[in-house]
Amino acid sequence: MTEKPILQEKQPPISDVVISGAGLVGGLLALVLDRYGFKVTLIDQRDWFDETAVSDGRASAIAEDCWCCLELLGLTSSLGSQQITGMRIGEAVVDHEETDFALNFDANAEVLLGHMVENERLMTALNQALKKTSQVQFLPKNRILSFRKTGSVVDCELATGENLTTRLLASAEGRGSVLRGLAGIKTQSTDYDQAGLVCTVSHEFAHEGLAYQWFLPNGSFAVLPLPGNATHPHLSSIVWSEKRELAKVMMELDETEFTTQMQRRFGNRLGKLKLQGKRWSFPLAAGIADCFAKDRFVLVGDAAHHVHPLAGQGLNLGIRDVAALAEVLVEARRLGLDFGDDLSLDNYQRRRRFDSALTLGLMDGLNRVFSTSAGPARMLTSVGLPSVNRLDSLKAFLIEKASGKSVNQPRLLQGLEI
Amino acid sequence: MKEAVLDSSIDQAEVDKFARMAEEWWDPKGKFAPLHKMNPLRLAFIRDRMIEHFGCDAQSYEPFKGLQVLDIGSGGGLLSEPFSRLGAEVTGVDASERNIEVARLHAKESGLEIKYRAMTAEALLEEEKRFDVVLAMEIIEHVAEPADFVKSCANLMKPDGMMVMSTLNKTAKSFALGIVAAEYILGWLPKGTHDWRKFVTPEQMDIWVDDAGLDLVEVKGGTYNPITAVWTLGSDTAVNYFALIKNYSDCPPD
Repeated sequence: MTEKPILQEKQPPISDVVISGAGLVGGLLALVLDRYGFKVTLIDQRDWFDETAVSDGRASAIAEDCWCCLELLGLTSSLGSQQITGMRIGEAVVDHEETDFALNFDANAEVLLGHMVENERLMTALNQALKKTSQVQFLPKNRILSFRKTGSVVDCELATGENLTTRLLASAEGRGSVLRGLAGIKTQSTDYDQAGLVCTVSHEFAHEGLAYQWFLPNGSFAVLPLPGNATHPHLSSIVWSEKRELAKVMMELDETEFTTQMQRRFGNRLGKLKLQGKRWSFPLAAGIADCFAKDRFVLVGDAAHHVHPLAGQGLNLGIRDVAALAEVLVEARRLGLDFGDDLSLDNYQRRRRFDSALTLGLMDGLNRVFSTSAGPARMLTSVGLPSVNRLDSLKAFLIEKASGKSVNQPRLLQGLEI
Repeated sequence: MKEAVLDSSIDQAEVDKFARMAEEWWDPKGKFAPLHKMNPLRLAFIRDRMIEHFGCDAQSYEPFKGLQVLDIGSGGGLLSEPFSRLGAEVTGVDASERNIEVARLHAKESGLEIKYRAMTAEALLEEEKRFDVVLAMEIIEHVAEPADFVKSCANLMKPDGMMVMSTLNKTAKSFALGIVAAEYILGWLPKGTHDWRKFVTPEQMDIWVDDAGLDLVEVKGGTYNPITAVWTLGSDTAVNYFALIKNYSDCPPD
């Protein structure tokens, strides 16, 4: 038997966790693990601190459980968020007249519907916290070319030629995760013939914290309340799913025509809409990785699952991944267990994969049901939907999913330290 | 050489049986999967009692710095390694040389310094070494003379130290779950791993501990939920149980 090289002699010293991808989920994982005493290295192709935050115009509806986690980490005070006070959901056609909403959810002390936040502001708050308070080692403008599990560590080869040794490697690289491919983990995905159009609008009347969502023949049209500012007291975020070809056409319209198209879909509840800033388009797809972890390699956020952004579940799922993974790792370490081994990662996978699949299934299902342009499915929904409002159990289930309540909830999502 | 490591408390057939399984110790999905599954529960039980007994920092990842822990029947090192990571100076003894080899190899791979020695508790006693914590987990049901074994363990413990033993209770339920289900139905453990006649009731344990001059302070059961695949600690001691043992002077009066 040949002697294995002794680990302690390796240079540089071993990281506890190397995270590839410094977006919202990767950055959050770094911040949380650093808080609990893990030696973390964060690596990204971009120089994420230097980038003058380019807004992609996207805002997220942060569910209450995830909000609790962000609050505990001290990230919420500078966000200028808007609490969602109610949801109005219904089915309609383009140019509809005062159609009634089929589902009305109002927030109360027990049921909170979450907070609207601009992603860019959350990213800024997160980066500030990472820079000012954490011990995280940053490797900007770099990436992992290859990695290999050797005994109880993973050796990573970097684009700059150095090597990194870590007990656990995490990919938070988003849905196109390169490391996931290198690990040989496949994904199951559904590609919709749809695109999401995203932008911010100002409007005449106050939204009063209400979130609206119309299910139109080609997809859903959501208007989500944003905090106002001095120039525009009334702002909302638009998330509009449209047939891909039509979305292309919409993107080419001039501002006035684009606004007219939005108004035709939303109606006049908030008065005249006005486009503020750029509009963005991205293809809609949903997918889930065949496994979330193996051989000291773990997936979090969109690298593990990406969802049709119907209810802003994407970022919420990512935050829940972070909370669950951190809890699994901290608990294993407190017991002296090898936190990067299969048992530990299986715990994470067991806690997260079901929830992700369920959310995906639910979102995918809702979208399919509502966006069938003709045929029996749609007939069924048009008959069935108005009665949904009275189906308390379904409503409760939807609210529970939206607010993230579940058994065995990670402590961070309850606003508690691990 | 072989005779040197064997004496009264060792049943040769038992030693050989475990040596055959040794290489599989560290495969969490292999034959020792149930032990890996239960490991967090027993680690938590021992850790919490140690923190309380020695007044250690519960928030630290290395709360047991400066404490000497003896793991009797250390097997592949499933207990020794965690306590070494938690800062303790760990000695693992096992009557099977193959187990010790497996454990040494794995500790090196994990970058941990653990003293592994192929010997019995009795042999170690002759070296007059004493430990803050003595662990004898899932071992008493495999020794030939359990009463003597408990005495040896007691003598290896420092007067202000503590000891934790775990074993399978001698009940109909433990026969049904520990042997019939675990070995034959679920296939968790190789057939013939346990001999029900050697299982120990908490009452019997109490008598042996008392005879060794120590006090059985606490008994907690471990129950397995096959649906959630999670072990929990509770008052049901019918199958697996953990026993906390201390000196009378360290215990509140009854």
